[in-house]
Amino acid sequence: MSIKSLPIMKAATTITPQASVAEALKIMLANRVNHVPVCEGERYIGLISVNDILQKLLPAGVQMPHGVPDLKFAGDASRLLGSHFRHLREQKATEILNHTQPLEDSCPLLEAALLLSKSPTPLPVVDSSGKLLGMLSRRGLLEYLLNEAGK
Amino acid sequence: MHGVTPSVSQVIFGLSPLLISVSVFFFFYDTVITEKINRSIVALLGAGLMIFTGVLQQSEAFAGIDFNTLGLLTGMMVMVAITQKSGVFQYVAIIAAKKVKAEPWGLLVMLSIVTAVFSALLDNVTTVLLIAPVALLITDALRINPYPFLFSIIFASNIGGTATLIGDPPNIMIGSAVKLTFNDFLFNLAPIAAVVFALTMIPIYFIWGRKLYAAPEDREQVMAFDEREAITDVRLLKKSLAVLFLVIVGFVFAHAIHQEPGTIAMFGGALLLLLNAIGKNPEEQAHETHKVFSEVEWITIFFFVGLFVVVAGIEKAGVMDLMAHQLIELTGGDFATTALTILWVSAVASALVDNIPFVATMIPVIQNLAPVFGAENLAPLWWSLALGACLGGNGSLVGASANLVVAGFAERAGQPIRFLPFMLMAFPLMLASIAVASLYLYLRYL
Repeated sequence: MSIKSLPIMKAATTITPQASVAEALKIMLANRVNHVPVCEGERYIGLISVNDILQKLLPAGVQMPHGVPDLKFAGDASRLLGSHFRHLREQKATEILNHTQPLEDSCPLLEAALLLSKSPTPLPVVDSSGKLLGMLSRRGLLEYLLNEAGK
Repeated sequence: MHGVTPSVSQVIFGLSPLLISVSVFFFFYDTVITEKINRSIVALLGAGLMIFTGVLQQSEAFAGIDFNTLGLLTGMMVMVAITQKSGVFQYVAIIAAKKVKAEPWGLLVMLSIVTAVFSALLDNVTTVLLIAPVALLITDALRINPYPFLFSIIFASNIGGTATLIGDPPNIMIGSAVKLTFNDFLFNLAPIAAVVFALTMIPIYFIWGRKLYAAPEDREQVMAFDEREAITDVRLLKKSLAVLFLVIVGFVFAHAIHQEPGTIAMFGGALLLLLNAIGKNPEEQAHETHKVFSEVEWITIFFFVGLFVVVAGIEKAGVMDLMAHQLIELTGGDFATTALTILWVSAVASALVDNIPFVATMIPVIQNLAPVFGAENLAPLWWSLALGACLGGNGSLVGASANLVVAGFAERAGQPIRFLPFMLMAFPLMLASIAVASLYLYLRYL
């Protein structure tokens, strides 16, 4: 038994590496999801999440280790946020994607549960050639267990 | 000389102690320079080899370790780790920015002055760790290139560190080994440090300063920063500043009260740990204290431990005596030539390699010059070494640890400071500062 036999949530949409951050964000908002997989053809290369975008909006002086610990003193700084956002939205998806390790479809159920419990986003599922099959979420896994328990 | 008690080395296989100790030393230096292996590991291995090969006995190795330097560094690191939690450094940087109405060139000068003053009183790495992120934040809000600011912060930290006994590790080591006081350093090095700082700002103005421009709306944004919000813990702030003040007063009067800076700094650290722990239950106390200790830079401390033992080894084998003779031969025994040679050689060496092992090596060499010039006349040579080693650190990105810390920040901020472009600007500027220092030494001491 592996996650192959689970009802894997289909990835709603994928984007290409050439897509802009603005396009990625629009797709996430339209589909009411917090992440979108980036694929070269059918091959999975990474994920973009709303949190990745939010983090990139922050000034570099806070993002780094030993950076400024809090920003209460800086007020709204809406010009700074705005200028960062205008710069970010034109960037390519490849420049900000995170390389979330995908699950192979042969991954056993318990291991998948462990990895999902540690991941901030649902995990992409790929076959042995790296082709994206879909996304497995915590909800998907729990829904499966609930149904099984009912049987 | 570091209190090494003379005993005859019983080197393994009857080999020459000179040969063995020099081999260990070169292995050590070479590995430290190439940075393939962490320098603290190399230093401890080198120290072990000095003892295992029989160059030193364990007791001699221990006697070679300068615990005054270690105490001073550790004590200052403990105090800074507690103080920085209060947000005081952000507070000062924001005040400085607002004083000049967030005008870029004024801001650059102010942040450089803040960096120089903090570097004179705290260690350079800590200072740039605190200032560089705030500088990046402010330049970000002003939408201007942070590079000139980071460049100036590097220079300011090394120049500021030159000014006092506690400003830079070379000074700590020299002061400790030769029993020069806080005031000796202040009176002899602070004036020239101030001059070099002011002169350094001139080329920085012509290269970058005059072209810096920030839009009024962006400056408004920085003017809207509220420095009072940067202070996260007022009570901690008061405790920290009180203890730091006492410690600095202690340094000033260290000679009069017959105490070493190491004791004063360690005691200050303990006192601030106490004030930080008071009123908390034992578990919280353990947690807080552990956190503070974990911020001490143990890599630096253990590097020093190993380094002192390695240097004690080659010193005992008579290498320093040999080098001192070489130096005298080179300069023809002329005092002024010797002082200037030490200054320039130290500067170039410190730009290219870590200045800490270099200074640790040079201290016994200069001590060995006492028979030639008289022990009481050596002071100008110590100032030459201190000025060369501290200011030389500006010559390249690897010249001082603080430079690398700033470069790390720059990299993450997407404005990497590259080795060669930095050196093309920094090395000539450093040489100019050494030329000024030469003039100062010549006019005042030689």
